[in-house]
Amino acid sequence: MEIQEFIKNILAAFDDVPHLELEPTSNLRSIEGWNSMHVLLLVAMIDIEYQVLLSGEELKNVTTVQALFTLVKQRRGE
Amino acid sequence: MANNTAHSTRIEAVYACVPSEVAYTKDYPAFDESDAAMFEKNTGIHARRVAPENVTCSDLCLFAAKALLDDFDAKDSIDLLIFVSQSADHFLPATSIILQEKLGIPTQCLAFDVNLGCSGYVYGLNMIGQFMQKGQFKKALLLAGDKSTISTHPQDKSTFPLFGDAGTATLISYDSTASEWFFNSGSDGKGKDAIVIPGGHSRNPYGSFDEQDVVYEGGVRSLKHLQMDGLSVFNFALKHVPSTILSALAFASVSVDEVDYFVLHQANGLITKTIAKKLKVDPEKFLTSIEHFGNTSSASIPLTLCVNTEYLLGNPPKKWLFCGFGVGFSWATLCFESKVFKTKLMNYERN
Repeated sequence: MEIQEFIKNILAAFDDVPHLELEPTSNLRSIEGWNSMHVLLLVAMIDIEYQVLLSGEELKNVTTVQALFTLVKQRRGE
Repeated sequence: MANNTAHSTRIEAVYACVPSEVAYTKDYPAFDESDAAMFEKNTGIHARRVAPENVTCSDLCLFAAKALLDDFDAKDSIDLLIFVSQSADHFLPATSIILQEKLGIPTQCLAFDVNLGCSGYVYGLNMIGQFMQKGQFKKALLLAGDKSTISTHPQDKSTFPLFGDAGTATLISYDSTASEWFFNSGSDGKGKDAIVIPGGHSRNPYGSFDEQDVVYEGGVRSLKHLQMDGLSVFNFALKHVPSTILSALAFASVSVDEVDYFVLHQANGLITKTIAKKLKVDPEKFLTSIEHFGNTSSASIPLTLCVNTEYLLGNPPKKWLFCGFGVGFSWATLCFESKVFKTKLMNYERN
């Protein structure tokens, strides 16, 4: 899996956030209006696109796009 | 997960009753405009119905059941009554027995309550199927619903704008020609804290805990209010619902593509859409009611049938899949084939 494609999928899931731009170093929790619904949207997108179901415990310490990407890759055994 | 069948059992009619009071998501004071827009877009909830203080779930079920029994002239032939709810009238006696008397159903009727939430409608159908298939019971009334708004804190953004109130009545008859019902069910008590009212019953009786409101990241609540860990519930649904659906279909020897209509518990729109994507099913095959009624607990499957009457008409028989899932955790799926069953959706009116 590629990080650029991963970012594209996050942007598609968060299509309600205007003018959102993300880089690997971006802090997800700094996204304007970040709330619990964004977490559900992320979990749903990752489950559908990458067949990985992340728990709250796993997501607790994830802050950046890169950290989330690495976690999903690990869970996929890549 | 448990598979079981029931035969000679047919749904004749499904009636639903909702309060006439409408609460719109856009008017929820704890949301700003963008919160409300995001919530509505992703949960699908535009509005909910909220019962007034002195109207209970059993009142809504009673209203639906009276109309149903009148229309089918079935009052004197009901020999089994099950009330599925987590908002019973009293700690005791069982609400089903109060309803037996209020409906004028004969005292020879077997009546009991089932304390289940969002999975409860399918569990109720399963129990009725087990009682009925030997022909010893001829007509059953399944009353399912909740007044969830009584247990949610008005300032708790994670629960209050999600839940609506509704009561339903389903008439089920013995019919030796009916197609077999195929169930898959499961339970996992590890989820007991994911949806819970911690205080007020025998584990933590009133007087033994602090009833003060506390502020948390989702708003305000106390131990006597419904608490929900949204992410745990979401994970549970994405993990177990596709798998129980596929298990029930395999048990029934029906493919995903052969199902005409999926009627899932209306937890929130994002869960339904994600499950449809995981199963690779056209979302149009998933009937919904959440837009105008919110999450109505065990009433949501029968209410969805009443909202989507156009799909219930005509022959040949349709292949249906019902799936209830939630508090417990508890889940249950029913796959069956059925011809038309009558439905009716009513607003509650005080006598």
